[in-house]
Amino acid sequence: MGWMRGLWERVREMLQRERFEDELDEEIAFHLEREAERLMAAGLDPDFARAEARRRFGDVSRVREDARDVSGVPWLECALRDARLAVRVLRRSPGFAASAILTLGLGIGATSAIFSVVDSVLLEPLPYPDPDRLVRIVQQNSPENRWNISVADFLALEERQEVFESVAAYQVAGAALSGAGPPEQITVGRVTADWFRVLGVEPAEGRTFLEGEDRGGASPVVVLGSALRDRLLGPGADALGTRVLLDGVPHTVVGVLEPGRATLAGVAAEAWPVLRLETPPRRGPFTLRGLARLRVDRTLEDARTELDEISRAIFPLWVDTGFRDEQARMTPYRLEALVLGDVRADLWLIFGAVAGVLLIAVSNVGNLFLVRAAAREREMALRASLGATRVRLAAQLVVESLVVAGAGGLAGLLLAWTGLEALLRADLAIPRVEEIGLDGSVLVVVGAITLGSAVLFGLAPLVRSFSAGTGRTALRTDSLARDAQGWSRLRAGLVSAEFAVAFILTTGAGLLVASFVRLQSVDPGYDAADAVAVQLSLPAARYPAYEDVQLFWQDALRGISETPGVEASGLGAALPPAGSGSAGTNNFDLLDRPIGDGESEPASLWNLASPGFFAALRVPLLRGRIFDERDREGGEPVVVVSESWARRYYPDREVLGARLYAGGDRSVAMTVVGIVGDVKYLGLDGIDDAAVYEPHWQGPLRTAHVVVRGRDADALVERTRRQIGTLDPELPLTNIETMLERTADSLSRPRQWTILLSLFAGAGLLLACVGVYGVLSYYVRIQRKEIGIRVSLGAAPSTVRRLVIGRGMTLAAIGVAVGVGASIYVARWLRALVFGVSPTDPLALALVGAGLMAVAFVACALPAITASRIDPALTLKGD
Amino acid sequence: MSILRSELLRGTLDLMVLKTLTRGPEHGWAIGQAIRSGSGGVFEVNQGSLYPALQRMKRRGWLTAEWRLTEGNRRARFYTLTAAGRRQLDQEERAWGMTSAALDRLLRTT
Repeated sequence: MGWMRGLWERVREMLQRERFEDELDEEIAFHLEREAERLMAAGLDPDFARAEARRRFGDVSRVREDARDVSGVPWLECALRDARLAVRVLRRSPGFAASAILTLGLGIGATSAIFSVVDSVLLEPLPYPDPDRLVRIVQQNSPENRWNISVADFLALEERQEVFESVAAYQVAGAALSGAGPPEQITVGRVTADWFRVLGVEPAEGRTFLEGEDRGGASPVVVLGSALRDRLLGPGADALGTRVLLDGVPHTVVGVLEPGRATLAGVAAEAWPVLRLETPPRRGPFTLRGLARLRVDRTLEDARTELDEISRAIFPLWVDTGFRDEQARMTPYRLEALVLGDVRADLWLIFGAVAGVLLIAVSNVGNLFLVRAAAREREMALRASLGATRVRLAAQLVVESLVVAGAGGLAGLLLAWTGLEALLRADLAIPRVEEIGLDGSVLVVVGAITLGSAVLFGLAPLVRSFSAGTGRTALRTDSLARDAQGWSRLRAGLVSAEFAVAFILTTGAGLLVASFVRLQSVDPGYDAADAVAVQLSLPAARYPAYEDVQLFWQDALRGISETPGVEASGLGAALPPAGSGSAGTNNFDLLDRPIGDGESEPASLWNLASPGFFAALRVPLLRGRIFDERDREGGEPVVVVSESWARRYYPDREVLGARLYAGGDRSVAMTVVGIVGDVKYLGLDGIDDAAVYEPHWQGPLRTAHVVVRGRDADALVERTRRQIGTLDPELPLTNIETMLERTADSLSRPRQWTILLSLFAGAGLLLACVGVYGVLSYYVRIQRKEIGIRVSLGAAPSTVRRLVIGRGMTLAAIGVAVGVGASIYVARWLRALVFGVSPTDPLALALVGAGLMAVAFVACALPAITASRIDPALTLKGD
Repeated sequence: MSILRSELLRGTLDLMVLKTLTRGPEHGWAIGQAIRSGSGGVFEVNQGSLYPALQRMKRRGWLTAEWRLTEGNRRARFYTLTAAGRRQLDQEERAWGMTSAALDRLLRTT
């Protein structure tokens, strides 16, 4: 193609510029020689001939220029020349260059990193086909009281539903893996046959489950995650057909998933064994979670209606077996909402903070360029009067701005990349973390904004000349001092805006810090020192019957309590201060105050514990007694309640002796025999401390936390391990930690978020100070003459200092005032994130305001001192 | 005969250069001379505009250039017509023929 070859020639000419011009010179020289010879042959004398030859040729330099103009890639060479010039110019003002590049880098980098997270986690749809048709199915009798579905529920759902394309049930559990390699405890997701079909996930190798493989009688099969297969059999090894033992049960591997599919529907599991369903004898227990895909032509509302009907239809079928909660309904929720949980607010908050920093960064850079612009107006005017076209000047300025912006952009890229790595490594409990990566489109957008504004501000010097017409006024020496009102007002406005944003950021960070401090001093309700906890899970294969489970716990507890060094020991289903997910809840009906028709039963946290649990955690008994072995033999079942529970349900009457039905089961009533102190089961910032404790032998308890109190943590763990080992050598101990570690871990997430937001607030404040410093320095410089005059008329240095500082502090004060208003407006979003403090606390706002003013004062100090040192003799002599 | 130092249409300069080179490779000065003598002195090429034009045509692929020694043992850049250049020449000759015939007809009939 002709034009391509032409372009190639041009590029070659550009790259070999020097050789090109030398050759042209030689060619022209030759031509002139020959022409001169011809003229001499015609009779002219040599000197005259040479002159005439030259004359006839035309303007040699013009020819050279013309040749140069049509060769190479002119605009590119021009731009490169400008760029080289720009670098030289910038090297002469290192302060400006460094500030601009660092500021831009910070703004671009931070915003890109955080926005990548927000984009991947909040904005990108879940990585399944048609993810908004995926729903979770939970059971509830009111929106606050949700629990799982049961096998009976699921079978009924499968049989009767028409609104879903496919339905599946799942359980997240730990399982002991053996058979291929050393035994270990892994997390598995037990799923029914249609699980993968609901999600739309295809295996990388083999197949998923077939219909009927999730019924009793079918031989157990499993789909492995890619990482587990690599670990057990070697990377990429053929696993299909091999057998692995999960909790002692052999499973045949029928498929392997892709490496990127370790987490499905928010469940991170290493293997997916099939969940085999048997016809249930009762409605409960409620151990399954439901997941389904809506039909294309049905909505969530349709699903809600149908599930409601199904729930009501199946209730009478099971009413004889003890399930009495008539209000219980299966309910659909969008999967996305449940996966993201409460991290949405946190992420948008951080994003807001980062956007604030970006705003400050851009306006700082703008200010820097504007200041520089004023200084260069004369230069531009001079060049214009010498014949440079406006386009040419504009082009040069744009290239200069682009050089700065380009360097800033590169710095931003580096910061974004390292920042994202650090973010992912920090313990921020962000869901979908496996999907986070530096998004190219994000970088492009953010980069374009910042670069665009840099370029815009870079053209400032020309704007005035465009509007003023001739540049002659700019050439006058005192033009700098008469700096247009418009520009300096704009710069002042930018600085005030920076302080306003910095105020909001600092307030937010301060609130988080205050919340965190408060959180740390919350009384958890137990004594975390000198106690260790381990988790044990009894597999159904080896402990099939209820009695086997009870016998094991009985022997284990006795053995541990008799071990030397153990002051107290016990077990519980829920262990504080776990997050909201792991503690179970149950609904109940008080006998002396039953609920009316159409009302929902109240619910509270429901823990199963051994009598020693309270002593092991040092939870105080306030009144009455703890249940003990005597309650085991016959008689009525008993419970113990927490202080908050007693206060809420029996505020003015005696709670001891009160009786209640639990879980809708009206066949047996339980009696309250004791009140214990409140324990923070839902995190240290939990507000609801009502809890009911049932003795562990009253319910099937396969997974429990064993708590042992004593001095030497390592020794205790070792002895516990040995004790358990004598009873069952194949039972692994998991989640081994001291209660101190466990308590500290629960604070880890709020700590990290606080640090992160404080970092941004600090950055924003720093940038704002840089901004006010820059503006004041410049102001002092251009007002030198005026200040010199004042000093020579008798003004004291302190007066001058006051003048400068006053100017700077006014800007800061305006910013703070605006910031206060904005903070109050933003407070409503902050409310959900702070603990124990009010976002509009006047004292807090006043403190932040004072802090910012103090910081601004420091930033004003240096220019003020410089101003006070101005020697009138020097400044008045002239410019 | 007056020497026309008019601004030659760029196209006609190309045509003349290409035509000249059908006789064999030449250097810039010789091309200029050939055009002057070949046109009977009517066309005096603006010598300065010759070299940019040669460069342009070279970039288009109609000519190639290489440095050689003349008979006088001096170094000069010689331009050679390429196949593409020949095709371009044919095209331009035809175009010129049509233009001049049309102009001719116009001038004769009025």
